Amino acid sequence: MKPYLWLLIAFISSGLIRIVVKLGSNFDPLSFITVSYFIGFLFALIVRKKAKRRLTKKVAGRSILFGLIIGLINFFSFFLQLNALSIGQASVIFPLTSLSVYVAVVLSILVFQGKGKFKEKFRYPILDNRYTSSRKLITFFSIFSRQLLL
Amino acid sequence: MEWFFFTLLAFLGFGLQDFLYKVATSKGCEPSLTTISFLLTVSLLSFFLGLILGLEITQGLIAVALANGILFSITTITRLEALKKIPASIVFTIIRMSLIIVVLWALLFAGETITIKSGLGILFSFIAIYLLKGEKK
Repeated sequence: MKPYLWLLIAFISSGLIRIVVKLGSNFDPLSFITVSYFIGFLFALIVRKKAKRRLTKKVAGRSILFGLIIGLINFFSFFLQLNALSIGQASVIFPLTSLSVYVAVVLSILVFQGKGKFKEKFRYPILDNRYTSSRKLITFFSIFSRQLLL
Repeated sequence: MEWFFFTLLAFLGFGLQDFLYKVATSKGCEPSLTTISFLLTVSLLSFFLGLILGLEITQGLIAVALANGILFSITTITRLEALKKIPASIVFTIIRMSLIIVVLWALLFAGETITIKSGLGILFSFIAIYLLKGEKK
């Protein structure tokens, strides 16, 4: 499948999640997370069985290890967010944590874009000549649409 | 300011989590297996925490959690597949733009009215999606 088709599916499903999570906010958060993630786990298990990709022990072990680390970080971040929400205002906390994507973007640029000078690494698609014009435009319109929709 | 400290840590944690998706794909991890391990870890941790704090599982919760769990699983797998070939800065920016789906849902089904600001936001989103359609790589 083409990579941009994967991205399109991720985009649609993550939008639908936002709607479902709104419905889920009527329930106890911890119970909702426990059941949701367990069902998600079962579904991923079915996908994995259907995909029938043969993996070496090394790749399988690495994949499980990364899943474990990501899971631990996700759980503790979520727990901290719940704690923050119990004493602070949701209207302030959610917009702040939603900016976390920029931590990932900055880290990805720093780590994955060569070994140049810091200034060279700290580039963003809109300003970076290594990106095609259409990719720059996609990023530009995505950022501004989000700011307008918030 | 205790809430701010918790929020800051959660902000860094979620950011690190997104970054690790990219690292996982660059290390050749298999998306569905990483997703299985990730979701199992979180569900077990929240289950054990739930044993201490108490869980309230109702039929309504299971119905909504079913949709949420399947969608979350699909999102995680497809995001990891996309990150294999597309720069993280584009993947994360586009996924964050999925807010438009909530806005469209609110306009179509919740009877909310469109403002100039949200109208422009929707227009910009459609332009980005149209450009995305034209991407070959």
